[in-house]
Amino acid sequence: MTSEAIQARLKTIVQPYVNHHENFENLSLESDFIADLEINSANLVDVVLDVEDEFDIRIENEDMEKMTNVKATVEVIQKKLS
Amino acid sequence: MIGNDIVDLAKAREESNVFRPRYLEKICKDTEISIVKSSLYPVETFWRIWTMKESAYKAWQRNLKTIPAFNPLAFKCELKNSKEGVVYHKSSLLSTKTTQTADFIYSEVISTKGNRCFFGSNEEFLDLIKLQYTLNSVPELNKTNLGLPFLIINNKLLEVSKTHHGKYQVFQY
Repeated sequence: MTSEAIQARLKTIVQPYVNHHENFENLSLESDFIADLEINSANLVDVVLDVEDEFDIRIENEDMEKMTNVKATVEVIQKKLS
Repeated sequence: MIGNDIVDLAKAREESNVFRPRYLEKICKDTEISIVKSSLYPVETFWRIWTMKESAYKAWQRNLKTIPAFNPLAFKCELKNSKEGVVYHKSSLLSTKTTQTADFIYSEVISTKGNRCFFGSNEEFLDLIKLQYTLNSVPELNKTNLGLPFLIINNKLLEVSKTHHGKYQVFQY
């Protein structure tokens, strides 16, 4: 799956947890979940679990640790799918 | 060291289902899951552990100048009594104090320096600082490049930890 396709599905996943809607509309690889999208840190776990369900993968702790922005999350998903 | 974290329980009920499958396992170690599941108030006990981990993480992050990472399983909590607890991370530990009401759960790291805490808005906090330090003007709340708040008071650095969730905001300094 291309990075763009993963990013598009990730955008749908994070939407319910976003508190900064303008930054969400302009979501890019550089967007940070907490600083830019203002996702509550307790909801980062929901993002990880939703990613697991959506892509039918399991994410270990060392990968979860990196999943604080769009770029790193897309990379983790890509690695798992390859 | 400073680090604090608050959970507005009404907001948390809207935002999070901590009993969602695999949720607890992403955040809590086995010993902590046992504590949560055997508690009379499992949701509140979970949020207590969560706020302890977050406040300790914030304190270490400031101290070690590390970049933000999301690794709640790297922190292990022990509850001493209804207020006090200890958070372990690698070879370090920090003591924490938790305040719990029907509406919120608030944890902060305990420092030997005896830190203060204040519940309120940015403006109220800065007005209080102006009074406490008898300043001529209201100081400005700055942030480091890691996003950690600080004040400059009479040319001296005053580190501030700020937590905000739902209706509540708390400063530790």
